Amino acid sequence: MITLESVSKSYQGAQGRTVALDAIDLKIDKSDFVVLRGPSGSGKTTLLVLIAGMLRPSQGEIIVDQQKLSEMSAERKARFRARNIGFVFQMFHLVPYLNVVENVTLAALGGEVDTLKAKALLNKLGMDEKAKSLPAELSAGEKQRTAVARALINQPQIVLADEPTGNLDPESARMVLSYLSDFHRQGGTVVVASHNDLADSFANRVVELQKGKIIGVTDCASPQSSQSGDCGGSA
Amino acid sequence: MRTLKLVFKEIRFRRVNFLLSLLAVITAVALFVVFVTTGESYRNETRKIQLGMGQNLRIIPKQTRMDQFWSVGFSEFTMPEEYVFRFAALEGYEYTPLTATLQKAIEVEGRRVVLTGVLPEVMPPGRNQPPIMFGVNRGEVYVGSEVARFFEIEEGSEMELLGARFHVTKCLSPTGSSDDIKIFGHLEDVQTLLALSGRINEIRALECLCLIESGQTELDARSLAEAQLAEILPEGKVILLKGIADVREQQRATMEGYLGLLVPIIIIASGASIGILSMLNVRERHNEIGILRAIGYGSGQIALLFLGRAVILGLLGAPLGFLLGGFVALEFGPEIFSLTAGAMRLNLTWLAWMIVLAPAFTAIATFIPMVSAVTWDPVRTLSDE
Repeated sequence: MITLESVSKSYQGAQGRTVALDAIDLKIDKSDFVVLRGPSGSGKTTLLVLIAGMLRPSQGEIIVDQQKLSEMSAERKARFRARNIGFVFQMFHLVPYLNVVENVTLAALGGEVDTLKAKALLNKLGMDEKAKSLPAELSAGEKQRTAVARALINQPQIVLADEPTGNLDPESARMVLSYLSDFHRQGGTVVVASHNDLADSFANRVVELQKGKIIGVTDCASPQSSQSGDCGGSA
Repeated sequence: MRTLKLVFKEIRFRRVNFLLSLLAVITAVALFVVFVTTGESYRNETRKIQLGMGQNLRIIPKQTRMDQFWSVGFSEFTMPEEYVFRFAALEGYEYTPLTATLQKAIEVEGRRVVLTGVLPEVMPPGRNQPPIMFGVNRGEVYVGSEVARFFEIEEGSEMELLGARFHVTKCLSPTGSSDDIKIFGHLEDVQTLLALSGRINEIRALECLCLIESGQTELDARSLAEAQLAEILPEGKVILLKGIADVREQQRATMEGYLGLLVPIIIIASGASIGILSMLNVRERHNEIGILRAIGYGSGQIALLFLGRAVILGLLGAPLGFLLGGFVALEFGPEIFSLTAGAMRLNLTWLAWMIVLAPAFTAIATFIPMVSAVTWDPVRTLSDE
């Protein structure tokens, strides 16, 4: 589903060159629920953004759904992203002047039908009563559920989530991860960058990053992972 | 979601920024309208004041003796009326407007008056402006103050001139000049009374900048004008009052220079204000731009959000600025330009121009912030976390 071949990304800053990712090789299969773990600055967000095609790698190739991102124009990548990828952020990034339904349909590709679809999705996420509320009127958990609905509205193949539980209480965090897990169970691919051990318990693979390099991959289905506790507790 | 809906919702949400930007557009348009309207009035006012000083170019019959002309104030000879139209068709002369008269001293009940036939003003091709001098209709006369006083003539009465009856439309106020002993009639009426059909004895060109170009001396200008006019007006003689022409040219250049300096400054200042406010708007919307990019909005759609906002600003600002500028010009302009107060009016063509130009202007002013928005790296939004 997602293949990264020797992907590097470096930035030229005022204090010289910073390597965010260094020759990453990673293969994420369809129906994987992958958690990217690592300290701040380890390259988790850069990796997600590269997979979404919002950044070009300095080196290497990224293939998503058998399509090389390097061969797509910026506009085509935008369309590809809209159709195939849903994004969830730590800070929710809801548009402040749009209500919940409008925020969800903002990402939608269709017209009126999407409003009905958005309402159905919000209903499923327990947000139907807040459909007309503005983001400022929502709790953190409600904001993130709205963001999850926005990520899922186009029925993407992949959901990328960057610290989706970072600002949530444990109950809300569990709820959000369970929605992503539902999506995963229905055949979707989920890649979550997270510090939260709770996320590991939903994953079938945990990728450990440090200083832009992969330092370990744990297959959560293997007996060793259960013994070592690398995939967290039970979901 | 439709882009326009998004634009309107954003405007409503960040209404202070939008209102400040709108204020900048309204100010720019209003000041422009005020300057254009009062500027035109200034020109008219100057022309009217200058009318009292005399024209700067006079064409009189060639055989006129200048001692007689200066002592009487008009020539005893005549030339073809058609000369007015020949002069009007001549290229390379700038003037506003041309007047032609036929004047002759006559006796009315033993009193000497100057009968003056006036041709309606002739404007240069393509120029349309209110007349500077009054025009007299056929069968009517305007009577100088001294004539009216002596013969006890009142407005609305009838008077007889050389056997023909005329309606007195107006008794003129005292001017302290020879106009006080004149009776003004339509040129054709006066030509008929004097049996001088198709003849005039003077053409005057107001604000005439005949061949006065940089590098030419006063002598060059006079001789060139005389040579050129002599060719097409063989029975005419040119009197060029160069000194007045210079003063008028200086006045006009000063006014146009003043407008030429102020208008761009206002436009640049307003453009900068709109640009700064738009940049603030973009900065405030970095997260929003980042998320739009992340969920698949392309550069064109992002640009449309800002361009749409700019066009709405211009479309709203143009009529509001026009109304405000028009109100200021018409309310306060007449106090400043008292001579042309009645003729001061708003040119609606400018409204149409403003509706076209203001959105273009706001779009240009928003260009840099728009580029900044389009090129905003969404990763920066995400990495801010």
